[in-house]
Amino acid sequence: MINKYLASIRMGFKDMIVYRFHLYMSLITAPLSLLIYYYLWKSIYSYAGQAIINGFTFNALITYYAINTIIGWFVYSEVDAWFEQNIINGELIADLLIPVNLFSHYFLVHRGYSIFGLMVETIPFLFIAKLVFNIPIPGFWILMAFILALFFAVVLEFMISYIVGLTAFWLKRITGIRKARRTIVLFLAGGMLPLSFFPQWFQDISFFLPFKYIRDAVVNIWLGNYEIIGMLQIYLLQILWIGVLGYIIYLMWKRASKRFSGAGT
Amino acid sequence: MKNIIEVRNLKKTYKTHERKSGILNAIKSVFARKHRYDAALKGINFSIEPGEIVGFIGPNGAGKSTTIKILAGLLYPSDGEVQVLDFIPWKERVKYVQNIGVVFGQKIQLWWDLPPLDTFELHRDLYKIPKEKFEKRLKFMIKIMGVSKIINKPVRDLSLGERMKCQTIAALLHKPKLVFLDEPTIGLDAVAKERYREFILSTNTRFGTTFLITTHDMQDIEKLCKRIIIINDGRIVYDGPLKEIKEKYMTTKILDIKFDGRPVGFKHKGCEILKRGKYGLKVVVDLSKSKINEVIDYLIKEYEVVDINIQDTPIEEIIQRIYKEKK
Ligand SMILES: Nc1ncnc2c1ncn2[C@@H]1O[C@H](COP(=O)(O)OP(=O)(O)OP(=O)(O)O)[C@@H](O)[C@H]1O
Ligand SMILES: [Mg+2]
Repeated sequence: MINKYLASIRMGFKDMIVYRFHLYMSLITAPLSLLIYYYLWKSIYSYAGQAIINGFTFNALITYYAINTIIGWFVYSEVDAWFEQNIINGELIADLLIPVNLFSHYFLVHRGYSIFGLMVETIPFLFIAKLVFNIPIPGFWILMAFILALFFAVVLEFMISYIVGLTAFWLKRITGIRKARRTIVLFLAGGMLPLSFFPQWFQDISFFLPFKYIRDAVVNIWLGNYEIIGMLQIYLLQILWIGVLGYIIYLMWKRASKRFSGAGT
Repeated sequence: MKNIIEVRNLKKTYKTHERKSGILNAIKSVFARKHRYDAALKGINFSIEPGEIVGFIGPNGAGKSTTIKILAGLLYPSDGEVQVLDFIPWKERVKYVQNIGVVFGQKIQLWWDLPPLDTFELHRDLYKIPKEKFEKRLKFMIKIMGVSKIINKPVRDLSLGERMKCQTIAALLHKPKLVFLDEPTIGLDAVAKERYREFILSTNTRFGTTFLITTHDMQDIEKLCKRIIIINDGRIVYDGPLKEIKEKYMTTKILDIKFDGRPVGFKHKGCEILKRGKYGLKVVVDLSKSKINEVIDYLIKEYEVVDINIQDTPIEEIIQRIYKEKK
């Protein structure tokens, strides 16, 4: 039984080995962009003459970017691109012919990617971040709380990109939407700037949207900015959104599979 | 015996968007899309018993792949009823596909960047095939298909024929009771085709596996199928023994002969010249009037023959004749 799930993860893992050089590259670019943030914010902090900006010390802000990078690797999903490609060339057929639920198969293949990324990207990067940028590593319980929130975040981002992917059943070419989704979600999730840097009304809205719970809230757990109650609230909202998005996927899939025409031959 | 496939009044209409060529029309179509309905299946009926090998043939665009996709649970029909192995294919997909094997010759069904062996192992776990059984069966299939050298090469580096062989292995590893093959011999060389057919025949006799095969290669049909279903323009025009069709329609063969010198005065009972070249002739032989070896004997005795090529009447021609008779 469990073998069935491990099999999908294993395929993702093996698939990533093929692209390992791509991942090695991100081991160079990620610390480099962190370095850029480092100097950029260093000058902003000294110009402002404040030790804390919008609740962030300089070190906390650099940590924010570092952990964001790691979250980005974990939540990375190309399932929307798979749908676009497989619907246009009809190769979705192959995935519909194997006895496995499509959502869980695609999800688990992505987790294979995550595990490979954990080994070749996350752990080495954390090492560098700790040594060079003095990123704090939280204690055991906070770390566990972070990992749990990260898991839900992974599901959330995957579901959003799955929904975008499903639109290909109607729209066929969705390259534009896919790219827009990536940027918009990154922005709304606090992937470019912590949400506390935005106006209050924006933060109020963000509280009710799913995006915050993919990055901003998760990083803030790492930073130790939440009490237990705050964490429970985050989990609750994450689970709630997983339920809502899951239901949307269910409804869309019911209609989409009827539309599928298995293009070509 | 209870039927393994039961198809009643099956219809499928594809909805597509009409778009004329040209930039202006492309812009227009963004705002006002014109729908167009193409009836691919116009109400077909047939049933298949367990253990049969049925050839499903017809010209391009006849609706063969559409039918197979519906039977495999990939498409929803527009109308009609289908029952396969006590399932309605497009419902309960995950459970249903456990029982069938499908090969689409035109599609890639293996992991593109990984060697075929990885896909085989994925199938082992997804179909819950016990390890020993898997090893044994894989070994057997690798041997009969002759792919031992390539199963560790990434699929993207395989030739079309190699991929097809591996795709078939992947689709049959779990010993399905029912197998759909859509142009499976495409890209195979003559020797590989022969082996492939042997493999299908032995699977059929050893395990009683049922096959529904589409192909444009009449040799496949002749070697494999006792029964054929001919489909044309979304309608079934013949369903019955291959023998009957052969006796009734395959009464001619086409001879393509090359001579050393000009063939002057060729004349033989039951022969009609189709085309006359400088050093060649294309002749239709009516088998009811003259045996093929009589004609060849005559040719070799009378002329300096360089090469003879014997061809069957193309299936398309037979279909046209059946079609005309029906009208
Ligand atoms: N996805 C699709 N969207 C629109 N029309 C389609 C689609 N797939 C097939 N058709 C149309 O349906 C008809 C039947 O196609 P089908 O693929 O079933 O033919 P086929 O018998 O398999 O032909 P071939 O021998 O060329 O493979 C064709 O006219 C084709 O243009
Ligand atoms: Mg076809």
